[in-house]
Amino acid sequence: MNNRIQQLRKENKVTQNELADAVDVTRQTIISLENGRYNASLLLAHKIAEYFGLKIEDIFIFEENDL
Amino acid sequence: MTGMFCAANATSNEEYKSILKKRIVIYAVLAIIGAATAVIALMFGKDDYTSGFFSGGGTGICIASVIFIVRSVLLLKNEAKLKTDRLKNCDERNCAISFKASRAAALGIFIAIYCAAFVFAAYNSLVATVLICVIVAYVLLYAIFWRIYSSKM
Repeated sequence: MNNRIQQLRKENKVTQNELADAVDVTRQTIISLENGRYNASLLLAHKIAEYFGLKIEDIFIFEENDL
Repeated sequence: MTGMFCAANATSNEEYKSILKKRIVIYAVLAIIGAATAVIALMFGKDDYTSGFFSGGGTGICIASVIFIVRSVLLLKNEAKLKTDRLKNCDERNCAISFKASRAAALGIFIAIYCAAFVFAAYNSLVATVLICVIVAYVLLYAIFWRIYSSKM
């Protein structure tokens, strides 16, 4: 599963620390999400989507083999 | 490395404070058990090895519990450090890592106990039996907790 977190973060000039604080996770989790090493839970995906004012599917890109 | 058991549900510092307060009570009980073990071992130990083993273990549990109590009390007094600790303990990635590490460690212990039981079977059948019983107890506990959690989720 890919995501646009890093892109959105840079577009909105948000640091990893600020995003981590806003969605109640550690900065390391944001780094792992951006690197694609970790997939967010539904709850975290919802928090991130809410933070950027977007829908979950606008941020997290499901591919054929994810489904 | 975060703790082996994540407090996954605290979404605010206030919730985490109540978790820490409960933990302080648990640590206090452990400290008392540790101290009591040490005292009883020193007073009624059959020989040097037995009294040394139990008093050492008891003292270790007592000291570790006191350290955790002090740490928890200090965290309760500092909001910034409390938040950092909460995020470390409740972060979903850390919990996922902890879960995977626990599974791997359990598998490792399983294999080690099984191998040790085979080696001890040649020298001391009692130790081998106890080791196998540990594996059986683990499997039984796993089955019990599986049923409990499957009814809750």
